[in-house]
Amino acid sequence: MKILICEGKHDRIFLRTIGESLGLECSVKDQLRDIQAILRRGCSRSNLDLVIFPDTNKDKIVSAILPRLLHDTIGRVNCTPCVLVDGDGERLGSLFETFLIGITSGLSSHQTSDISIDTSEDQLQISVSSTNDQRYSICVNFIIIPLSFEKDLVKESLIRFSSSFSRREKEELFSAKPHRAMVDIATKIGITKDELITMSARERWFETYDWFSTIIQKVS
Amino acid sequence: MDEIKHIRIHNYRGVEDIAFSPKKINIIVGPNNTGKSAILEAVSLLLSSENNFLDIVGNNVFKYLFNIREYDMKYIVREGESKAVIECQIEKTKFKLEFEYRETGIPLDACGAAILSKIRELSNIFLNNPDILKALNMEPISPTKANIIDNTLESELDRILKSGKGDVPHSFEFSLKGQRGSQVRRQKELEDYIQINYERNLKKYLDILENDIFNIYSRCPKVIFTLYKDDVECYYYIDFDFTVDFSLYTGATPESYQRLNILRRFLFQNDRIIIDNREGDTNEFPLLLVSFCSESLVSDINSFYDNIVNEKKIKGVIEYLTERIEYFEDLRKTDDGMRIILKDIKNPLPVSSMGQGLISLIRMILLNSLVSEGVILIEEPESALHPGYIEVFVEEIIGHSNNQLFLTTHSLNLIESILEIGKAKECLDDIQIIRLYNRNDIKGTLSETINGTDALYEIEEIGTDLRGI
Repeated sequence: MKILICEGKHDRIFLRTIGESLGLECSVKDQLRDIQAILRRGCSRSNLDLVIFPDTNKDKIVSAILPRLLHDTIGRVNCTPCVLVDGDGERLGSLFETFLIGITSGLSSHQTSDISIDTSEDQLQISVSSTNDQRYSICVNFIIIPLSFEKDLVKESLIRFSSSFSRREKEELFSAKPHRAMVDIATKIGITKDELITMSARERWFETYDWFSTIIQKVS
Repeated sequence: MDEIKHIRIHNYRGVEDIAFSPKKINIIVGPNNTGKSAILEAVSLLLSSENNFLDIVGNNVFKYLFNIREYDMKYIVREGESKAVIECQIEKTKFKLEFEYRETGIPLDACGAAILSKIRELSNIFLNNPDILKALNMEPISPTKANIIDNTLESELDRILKSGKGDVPHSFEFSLKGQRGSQVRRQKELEDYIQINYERNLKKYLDILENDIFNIYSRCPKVIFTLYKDDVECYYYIDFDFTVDFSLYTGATPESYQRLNILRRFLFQNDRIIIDNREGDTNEFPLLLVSFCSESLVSDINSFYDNIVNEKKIKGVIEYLTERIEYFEDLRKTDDGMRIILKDIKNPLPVSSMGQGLISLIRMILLNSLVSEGVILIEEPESALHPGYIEVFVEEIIGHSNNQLFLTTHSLNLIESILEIGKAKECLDDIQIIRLYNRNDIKGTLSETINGTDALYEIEEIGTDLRGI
């Protein structure tokens, strides 16, 4: 079972559709306690391939949710959580360092002991291992969308539905807030915003994007 | 009030080492078999140690552990370890209760010497008790001189020879071989014989009994508790397990009923030994009230009620119950047991006929009223409580109590309720969650303490189940 932590509602819809299109048994859990319950009962009993846990705040994911999940699982259950976050234009190295600091201080605040933390910046991986038993190791994979999922979606929508928008409209939608732009685009083509996201996942609009390939690779 | 500032539990049952600094309300959570109950037991053992392990309403922690929970003494100390230690700091004084299980033998140290000396003292008192001498059937015999005839002497001699006890005076033996002297002489000889042998045999017999006693105490399994105050030994409590067949230790044959019965009498009276080296006021622990998971909810209510009446607090408690349970009117003790009076119901009803939830709530509220500035330990208070009643219970413990509370729970409802009410009453800083969890990699249990503010954040913001996975 894979645990995929992401930012917000849009990523959730997108990831769920991707998972289902890959034939995976998916479930969205809005509370960490629901994931804890699955882990408590044993992943194999859940019959799930992919659990998506959406949260709205990147900082909270890194400094609160991930450390709690790692603290609760290290030395007990092996899971491989993936975290999909927007880079918001920030440099990857700097983002990764922020993640590492967040996780390290979070684990320390939970008094997590007997662990070592290793990193692979190239792979965007942070591994937390038991110092007592190397069999217990949790590798967190970060998947970073350089700007944001919403911005990439607006961009791809305007390419795919280019004929529906004038040049001026396109410029306005590009410079508008992505959330607003998504609604406007969806309205213009006669669907809802959520349907637009679902469509992008089903039709694999982002196949040429690195972040998309990584998602497919990690959840498959 | 005197609060416990620090606790450390080391090698007690399954707990390898847990230390934390308690706050006013301490919620101990974790999966089964992580040591939640062990923490309550350990704290209750320490705080009740100088009171023969009794709390203020007479709950016996020891009895609970070994009789009700049926723990084997052997496992009171973590497997593979020789001693368990429970330490706490109350205000500025450090207390340490150290205990060891010994399958056999007496320690070769000051404690062992004190135990032997105490056994000697107790056995001397016991064996010199006239009742015991009578039971031994060895009280001085007053021979009825006139009845003593040669036949009697002969049969007496026969008995003595068969029993192999005592020396037979030569003249006495001689007289029985036909050289009959006067009856008076024979009578005198018999009296002398009886007197000499009585004293000799009695001493010998008492020596054997005393030896048996030492043998049994030395060879039977035992738990030795030593209480230290600021690192000075001040109190020993030794509990002996006499459930073994101690005739094996004494060499007495099963036929030696008299000897075994006398030993049993002594052991029954002295199945635990207390050696108190303290001077002056010995009551240094805060008042303690223990409530372990119990089937006997109604009998608990009965005993709590008596104590509350004695403390003259019953009026306030009834008012509180009336205020919080809309259909409740009164609680009374009658010759037929505890009765509850409900609104719109004519006759008082037995408490035992009420639902488990109501009984449990009443029990919890009575319990919390019993101590005003002490330590309360409650195991799984949510048992049988409706979520609505959980809130009533929480309001009671947070709002109307100046006690230090330790509770174990499996209820997320209870945790959330405590945190929410704590937030509303601005006392989150007084709340702490001690989260126990197993780690397969270290094959042991670890703990994490979370203060009330962080716990509330985790529950509210990231939806954590603070009970753990």
